[in-house]
Amino acid sequence: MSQANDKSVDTMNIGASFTAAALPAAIAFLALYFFYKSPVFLTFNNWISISVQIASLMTISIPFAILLMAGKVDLSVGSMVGLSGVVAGLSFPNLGITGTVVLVLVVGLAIGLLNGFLVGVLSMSPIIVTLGALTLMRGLAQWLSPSPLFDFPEAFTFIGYGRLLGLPILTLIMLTVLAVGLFVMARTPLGRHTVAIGVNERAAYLVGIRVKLTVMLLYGAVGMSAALAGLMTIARINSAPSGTLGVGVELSVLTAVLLGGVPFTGGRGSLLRVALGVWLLGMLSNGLILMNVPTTASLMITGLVLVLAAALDVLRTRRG
Amino acid sequence: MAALVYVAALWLNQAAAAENDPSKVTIEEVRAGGKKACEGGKKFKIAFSHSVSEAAIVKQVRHFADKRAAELGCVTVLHDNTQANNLEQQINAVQGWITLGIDAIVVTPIDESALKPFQKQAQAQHIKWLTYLGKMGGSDGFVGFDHAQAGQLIGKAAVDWVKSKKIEHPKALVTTLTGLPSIAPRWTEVEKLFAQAGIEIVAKQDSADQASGLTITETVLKQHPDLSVVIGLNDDAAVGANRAVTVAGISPDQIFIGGQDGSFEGLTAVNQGKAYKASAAILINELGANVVDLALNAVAGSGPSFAYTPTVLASKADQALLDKLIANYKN
Repeated sequence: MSQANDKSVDTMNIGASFTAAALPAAIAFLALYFFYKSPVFLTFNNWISISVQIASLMTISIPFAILLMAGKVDLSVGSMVGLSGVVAGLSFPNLGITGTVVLVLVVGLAIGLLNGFLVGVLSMSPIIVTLGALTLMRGLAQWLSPSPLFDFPEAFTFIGYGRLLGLPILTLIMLTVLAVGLFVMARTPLGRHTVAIGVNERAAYLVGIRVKLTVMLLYGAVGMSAALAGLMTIARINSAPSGTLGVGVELSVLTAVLLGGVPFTGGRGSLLRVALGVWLLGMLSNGLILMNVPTTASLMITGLVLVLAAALDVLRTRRG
Repeated sequence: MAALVYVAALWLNQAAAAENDPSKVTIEEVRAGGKKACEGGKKFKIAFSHSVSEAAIVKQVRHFADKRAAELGCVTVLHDNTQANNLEQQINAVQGWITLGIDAIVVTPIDESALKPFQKQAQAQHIKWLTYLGKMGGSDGFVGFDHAQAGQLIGKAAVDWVKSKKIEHPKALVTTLTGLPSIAPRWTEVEKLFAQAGIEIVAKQDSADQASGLTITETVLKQHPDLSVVIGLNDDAAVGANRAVTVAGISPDQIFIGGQDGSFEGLTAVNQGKAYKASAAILINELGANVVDLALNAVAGSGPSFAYTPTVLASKADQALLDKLIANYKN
């Protein structure tokens, strides 16, 4: 009997290990496949290129994932990217680079805190509030900048292509955001409180967690990170088109975060897996372009890979 | 009597021919008709719904439509807020205009079959129905520009450049928008010209915005560092490509980047005289004015209501034209 139990536990462990490794395995498999089809794929330069291409997405996804772990969502991040780009473009001539960066981050933080106030303190629906903010900010961006803004100061656009310590600055910013996120979740009370709120908000309140303040702070962090991502994007493209900048980013972020295993209901999740989710999206896009897969086929393949990755994650979750 | 019937038949034939071939209609004919419509002292209300009103170039088209309306003094132009090809937004706007009982509706049909019932409803209430870019059967007018002409202009410019540089195995990246087959001549014409000239299209990907134009070009350059031509479906994609090429440190002499539409940012990049060498530019001041005049012509019967707005090649080779096109955005 005891032997049978041991065997069962072993089988479960093997199964759990297999499913836990599903996302990294999917990435490894895809990497090998793309390498087989296009040897350029696995070159250091190409991977650096992928890291730059996903930098903005990762910068938003990390705090977004933490917010989702608390059971809340922010669908306004795409428009925040657009608005921050436009505010930056308009501010450069008067405020200079430092002043502009500070202003944009403060605007992002303030809008995030306002979202957090409406959701956390006034208990309004996160989806309604942030969808409203999504529309409002897009309208505001277009009103502020009916004409295109482009050709920003060289010292600023350097952030978009320059390197520090051999790595692109955008990659370094992305890694810093990831490191801060990991530190917050592993080493600070905020991380534990976030998960507790996601598991049971009422219970978290009863044990003394300041739920409203925590939710506000998390929304503030997401707003600021989206503003930072907006700055990163306009530094990269050297332009801030108010109509299209950041459009659809919220869906990419949500896809990456859900792919990384954070459930929509919150209560659990791993930032490292979210980072892998973002990487998988970037890698897929890069590999399919290298192979020159037609867009229609590319969309189907991307969808299929995402569904497979999600299915593997469900298996992992069920096995506990 | 027979002569009258003959003249009427001739006129009808000519009208039908113009409808079949709007490219034969001149700007002067369109303007004269619009002016004539206003001479009776009647006031008109027309509405214009573009499917991507957030695009900078569309804002400029609207600006020129309003400017023409102000110049004529007899017409008010209503605009909607349809963005990102949102069909529901467009239908709501069109429904509202039909209820208002305005004189004409000019619409970029996001989905022709979905808009068909509204076309019937509008026409039943004697509201003229014109389409912008896309065509719908039974329309009272058409405000367009020729995608094939744009593709041919920019494709030929690229071929000429490749020949002048005597590049042995030229490779090209062409961006597309496969979800919008109505604008396919923008890339299919380029493909035809490149096939004839022996330019190999090594990558063909969807991109209509700067960020994706940058990412795609950056990635394709990893696989094909000897890429010689990038043709953008529009200027936004080409501007993104231009950024990728600039950041990669590729000499402007080694690559030809071309866009389509003639957006302010695209024309500015052309004016810098670097890798971004040309844009097949629509005369947007004329396009905006055509929205008004063609609608008035349809309402008052004062002139042609089906016409194309010309597309020209904007490049450093014709600095005067380039300056004029850029100046359009500064009005």
